[in-house]
Amino acid sequence: MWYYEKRLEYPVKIKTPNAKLAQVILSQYGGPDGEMGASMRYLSQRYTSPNGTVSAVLTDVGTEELAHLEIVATIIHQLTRGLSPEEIEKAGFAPYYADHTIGVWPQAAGGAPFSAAEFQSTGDPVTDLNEDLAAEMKARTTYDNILRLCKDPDVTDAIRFLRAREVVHYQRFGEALRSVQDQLDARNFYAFNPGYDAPTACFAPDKQ
Amino acid sequence: MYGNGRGMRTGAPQGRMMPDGRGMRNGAPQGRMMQDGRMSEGYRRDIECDCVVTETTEECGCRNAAESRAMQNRPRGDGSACVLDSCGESGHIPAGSRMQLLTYIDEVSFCAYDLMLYLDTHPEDDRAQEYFREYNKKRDRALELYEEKYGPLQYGQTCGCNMGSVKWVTEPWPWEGGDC
Repeated sequence: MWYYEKRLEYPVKIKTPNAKLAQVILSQYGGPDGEMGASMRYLSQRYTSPNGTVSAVLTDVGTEELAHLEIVATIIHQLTRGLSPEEIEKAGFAPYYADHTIGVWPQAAGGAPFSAAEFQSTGDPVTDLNEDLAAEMKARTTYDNILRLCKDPDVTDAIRFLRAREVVHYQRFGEALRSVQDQLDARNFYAFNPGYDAPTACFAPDKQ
Repeated sequence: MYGNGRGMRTGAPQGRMMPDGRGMRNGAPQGRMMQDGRMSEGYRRDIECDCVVTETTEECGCRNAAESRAMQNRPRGDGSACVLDSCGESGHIPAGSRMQLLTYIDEVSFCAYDLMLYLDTHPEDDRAQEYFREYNKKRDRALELYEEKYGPLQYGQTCGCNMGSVKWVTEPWPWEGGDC
């Protein structure tokens, strides 16, 4: 169950359109380390979570990624809004424009469409959480790369917010992974798959 | 994580308190030593970003950053002056303009959400729980006020009054930007 709240998690108000920049930022919408993949990854991985901590972190971060998806889409929308065909052509945005006009569609900066092949749901929470830690760092690196290309303070402000959130998510995933390992035998964390071979009991502190 | 599975846990930095209440103040979990007896290096540093706990403005952009933004953005000393911490008990919500109220909602919502995420892995942190309740209360009140004045942000979640169904459709959508 989800409800929509009619505001952005972080405000976006871009005064100057820039299709060249939009092309780059599109990657964080539908690219390999973008917000769509992030959200789908976490929300899909929840079902083999071995404890309540992992379920909570995957649900809440997966939900926040949807809010980030909306922020990124808003940036793209405002960077392409009101551009003439001539301006679009000059910015090198014509190939995208041919298929999508200025609609927002999930693809990587290089044009590859969004694919579920960008993420995994292995059914093994130890493996999945390690992927999640890596995913947050990959997204941070992408934002770092975008920040090097982006000079418009209206855009960098929102990108910096998104980048900072990747770091916080990384922290929470580290703690979630630790909560799984605390339930396992430290002599060999990898003896079995806690999401399949021996599902562990739901970890709810108030019920212990 | 590094293959031998002997006591060295993930290199991801850890917060201060585990759900079981064990302290992690120096980042070194008790009894978790590496093979040669040294504490794993990864645990020595707490990341600087557990806003409520370390009260730093670095990285997370949460509590203090939101407050300092609030201080910069708001006129002081004209009766509408308000920083987040002083808003709660007096019941004062900065609502001089639509933008001001929405900014306030963004800030207190972010604080409440980030605290919720922190509490996912630190459910017994009393101070964080207290902050969470405080910001959630501020958020609920501000959302209600916003709906009364400008229309609903969460349709069907608050009062549902004042032509809400019409305003849900006609009032600006978040991606449109502009002044509201």
